[in-house]
Amino acid sequence: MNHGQQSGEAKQEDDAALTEFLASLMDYTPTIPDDLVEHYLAKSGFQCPDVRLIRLVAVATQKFVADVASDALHHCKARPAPVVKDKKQQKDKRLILTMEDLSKALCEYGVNVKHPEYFADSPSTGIDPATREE
Amino acid sequence: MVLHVMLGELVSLNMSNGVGEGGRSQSREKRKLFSMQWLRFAKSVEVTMYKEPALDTLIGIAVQYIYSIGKTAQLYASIAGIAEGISLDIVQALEGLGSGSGILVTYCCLADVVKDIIRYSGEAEEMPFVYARPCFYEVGAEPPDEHIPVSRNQIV
Repeated sequence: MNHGQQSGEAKQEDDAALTEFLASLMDYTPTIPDDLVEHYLAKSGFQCPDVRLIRLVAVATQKFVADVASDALHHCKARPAPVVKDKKQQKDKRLILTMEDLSKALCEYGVNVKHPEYFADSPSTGIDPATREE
Repeated sequence: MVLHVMLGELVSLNMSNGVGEGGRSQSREKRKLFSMQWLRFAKSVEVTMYKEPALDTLIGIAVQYIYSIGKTAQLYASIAGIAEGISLDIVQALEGLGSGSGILVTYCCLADVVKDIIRYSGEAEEMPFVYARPCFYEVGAEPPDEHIPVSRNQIV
């Protein structure tokens, strides 16, 4: 009996938290415009005139993209640093979002965007001519 | 789940309802604006540069995510027998997409995904879309066809 009462109270608190969050969304402007989210929701068949729900979806999408980008960043930082030949390359350390890091990050979310493997005509295809002579 | 890069989705996005050659050039401009906005967003997570295919992929996946939420929420609304979805449908859709199996077990408390979203909205920097999205009325142009409204007021 007590367990049922406690779960009921918890549910009421969660409902209140959700209601409060939806109300606060009117003061928070997500990165993704409301028009864009409304367009794609309508395209999927979900009709909703409530702006709060549209913003909820916008914030959820923004968080998802932020998590994916953050994971890709971790993969980029975790990669071993290449051999530096000159000092200019050493100073120019930029974090670049590449498909390699992005595909690794998306793998954790169940999304497969890996490019198909490249099959070369001969073993020397794609090798720099300078290194090939060596 | 295999997702293809949905660049076509962004090209087909037509908030000003441009069609034909003029529409395609307008869509390219919009895609450029959205890319610039995503670049601002990427800088907030310490990414300073990007490869074009990676950014396009990320944009496409964001679009697919919105589409998936809408489709799943509509499914739950249909099961409940209502035409217009409510907040619980979206919460269930988010919970279903957030779990690895994609199956919603039970709704006994506020989903962890929603709690994470609430926490994220409190911590993340607010970054609204800064670029103008004019409609035909503001630009002073006429829509190419009669069925295309001039302004948002005409849609209602």
